[in-house]
Amino acid sequence: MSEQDADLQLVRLVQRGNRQAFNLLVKKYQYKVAGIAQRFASNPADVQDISQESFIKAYRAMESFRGESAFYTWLYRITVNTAKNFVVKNAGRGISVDVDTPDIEAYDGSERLHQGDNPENILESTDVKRVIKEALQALPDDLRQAITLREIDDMSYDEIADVMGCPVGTVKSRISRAREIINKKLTDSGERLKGNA
Amino acid sequence: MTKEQQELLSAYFDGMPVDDMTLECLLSDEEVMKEFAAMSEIRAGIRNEIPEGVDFDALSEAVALEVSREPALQQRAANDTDAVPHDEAEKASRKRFSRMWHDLGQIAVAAGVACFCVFGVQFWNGGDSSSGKFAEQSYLGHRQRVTAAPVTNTSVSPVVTAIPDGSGKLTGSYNTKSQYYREAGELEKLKEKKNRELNTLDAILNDHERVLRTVGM
Repeated sequence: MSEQDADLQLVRLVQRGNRQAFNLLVKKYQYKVAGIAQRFASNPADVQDISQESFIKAYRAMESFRGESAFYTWLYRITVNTAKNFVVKNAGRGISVDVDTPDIEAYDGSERLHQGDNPENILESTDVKRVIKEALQALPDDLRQAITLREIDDMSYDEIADVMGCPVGTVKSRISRAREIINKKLTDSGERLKGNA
Repeated sequence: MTKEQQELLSAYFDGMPVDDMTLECLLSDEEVMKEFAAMSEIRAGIRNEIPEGVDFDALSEAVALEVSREPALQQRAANDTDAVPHDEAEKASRKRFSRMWHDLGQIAVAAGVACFCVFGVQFWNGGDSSSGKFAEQSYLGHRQRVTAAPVTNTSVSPVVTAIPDGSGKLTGSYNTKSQYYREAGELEKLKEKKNRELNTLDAILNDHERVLRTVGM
């Protein structure tokens, strides 16, 4: 089962009425969604609004998701469309237009970059990245290699097992252990991102 | 959370399959949700995907709150599936009801025409029969008198019923041949009328059968 299958399993649960499954998808993809939104709106409050609206739209449209594409691909499209609409709506004309309008394609979102960043949040996310980086560097070699192959090289457990020459069970254990150590470092440093404390 | 549980969650986060029941158990555990969020944060941190300045606490809470206000999808789907068939069932019921009345109407018309034909044919045929049955069956009283009597017995002789009136003369009621001939003339006219009516009935029947064939009854 790939991550795509895992997402589809969560989607099926959401479609059967499990809201917590959707909250899990939000936890999983909120960074990516916010990253997409940030390409269109530099103000963190706007990024947050776009991200929130995208997730709500995704929830409302979840019934129509048939799993023909990956959940993230589908969510990506919703986020881009939401962001484009948001940008046009707030571009001074005060009207919302459909996403396929040429004006939207022509809009350069970079003009709005870095106009209203929240210094506290910037510092926080920067610190989180720093702590994670430091924790990663401090890991034992076998754990660091396993988590790096997984998170940066996006390898499957089988591929990592081949590369590292160990059983898949060991890979599973090493990756879990590496995450546990990094998580503990984050908690101890007090640099945990809001919502994950 | 035990080491095994943590490994299971970590592997699930990376796409390892778990059955729905296990997953639903994991989802109902707040600690699991926090661990999952932490793993997402670590992944985003390692991949340098954490956007600056965004309050992810507020974001996930706002989404969760909004989602909690939305009807659950299954409920929504159930409402939708309830609603649609209900409308359809109502339409179908109305259609069936309308169709039933239409059919009943046609049956009533057909029955009426059939009765009319049976009695009409009996009536007119009865007039020609020598059995005299029709005289008893006919519901057209005044016609019965006119039509039945001469036909049922053509060999009847004129009858004079003499009634003494006290003056020595006999006053009589003549049931003479001329009277029969007069009545026979009327009979011919009635036969012609009967034929015309039978033709009309045939036309009605043919028309009705054509209608029935058209509607597929």
